[in-house]
Amino acid sequence: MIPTDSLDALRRANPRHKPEFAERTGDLTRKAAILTSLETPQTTGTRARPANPAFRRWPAVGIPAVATVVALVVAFLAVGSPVGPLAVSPAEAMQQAVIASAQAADSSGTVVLEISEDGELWVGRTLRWNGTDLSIAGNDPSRVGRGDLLVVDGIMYGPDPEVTDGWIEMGSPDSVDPDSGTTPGEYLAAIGEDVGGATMQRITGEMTDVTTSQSADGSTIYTGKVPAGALARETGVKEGETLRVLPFGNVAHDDAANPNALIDISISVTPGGTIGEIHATWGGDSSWSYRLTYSDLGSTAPLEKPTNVQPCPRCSLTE
Amino acid sequence: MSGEASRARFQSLFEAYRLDIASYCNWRSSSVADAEDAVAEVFLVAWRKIDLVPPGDAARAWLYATARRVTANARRSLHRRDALANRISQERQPDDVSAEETVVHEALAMLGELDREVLFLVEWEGFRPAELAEVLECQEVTARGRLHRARLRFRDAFEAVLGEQANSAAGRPGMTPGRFTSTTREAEA
Repeated sequence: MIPTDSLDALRRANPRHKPEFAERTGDLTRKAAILTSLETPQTTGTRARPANPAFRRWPAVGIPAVATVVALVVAFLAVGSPVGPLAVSPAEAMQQAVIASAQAADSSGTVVLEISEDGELWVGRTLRWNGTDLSIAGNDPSRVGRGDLLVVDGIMYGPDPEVTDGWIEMGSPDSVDPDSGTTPGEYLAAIGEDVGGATMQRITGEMTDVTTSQSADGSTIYTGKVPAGALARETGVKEGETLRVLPFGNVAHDDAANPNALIDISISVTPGGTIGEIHATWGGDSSWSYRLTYSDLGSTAPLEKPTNVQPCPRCSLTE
Repeated sequence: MSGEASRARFQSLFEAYRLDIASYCNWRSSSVADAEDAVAEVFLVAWRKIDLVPPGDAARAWLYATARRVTANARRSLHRRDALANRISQERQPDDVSAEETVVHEALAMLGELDREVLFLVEWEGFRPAELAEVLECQEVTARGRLHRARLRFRDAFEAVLGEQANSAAGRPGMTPGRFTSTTREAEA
């Protein structure tokens, strides 16, 4: 018979009471152990290799054991490498750049997104942020200089469709439906994830066949392949088909929509040690190019309130 | 804090709370892969901001609040929220669950997300209202109110599921699940 005291029943159903809780839950922490062991201060003299799906099959062990095993593997690979034991591996250099980018992007930054299909620009967008201020501007040549969204000092602005270079004050971002994915805070959180968070760690961690070259400006270019699933993450199902979305929110098509397809990718690391550009290309029915160009991470100028601002008549009617 | 001291503090935090945070992220994620990413992100944030992590027991609430923001960000889309609801109602019921646990899971699936989270933190994770307020980033009195309402709605849902089972056993039409969800949509941080 089922007892009818709901709270007692809820407490008895606590998954922590299950004998397999520690093992199952511990499985979810291995990637964290691997990634955080990468950030060991240099004084320790050991650095770990990046996350790899193979690590997910390891038995549950604590972070010191993981770090030790990983360090031994790194030491073995480094000693056996023709570049010598002191060389930094491409994977390690990229992971360090990801971390440095994330730290710099905490305060401000600029990202230009360009997606081309068969050589023609399909999506072009520039995102700039400084603190909690945010600008999202389309790169469509017919709309040069017009922002799709601007948030300065807690006020949201949108382009005035009836006035050239005019803006409409749309009020507080609080008026945007929370969790809709369209609030400025959600945009900023997405930027954080896609600039230096889990997205970038996944891409650099799963990159294979890596070759290295130098560009004229001193940047280091890492070229290789990555499973499309590391670039475009599954977000749901639409009309019976799995929906996968690229960083910064555009739906992936053709090979990029197949998580197992290997796509070509190159990542440039600036002389300053941050990510400069990510460029992925893939095929399918069309030929696709996806390019993210980062600049001014940590040094993007403060955003300014626009001039020629009109109140939003429709907004005032609803208040 | 020196590099070695930071590392030692981080390792102690990781060992002390990794299962807590993994359990919480798993609860709030629409897939195991998302949960794994979220756990990694939470501890990367903790490592980068180790000097900002409060000392003592307060570190636990800090980590949960960070995990809450990370998982909220990962579930921006409606698709992911739907997937999460489906996962809670379907996938979180392994073969060995008791009849009572099945009722509990079905009742939880009928609640709004915030109600589920409040119950998870207090009834399963043992948070006090003051700690709950820190995680939800609200006043303690607000957290207490949310907990009270969540318990009431869970009791209603639990009894509704029981009633539905009784009706099914007696061959009568059951109640329609989901009538509670529309009343519990409270904005997340």
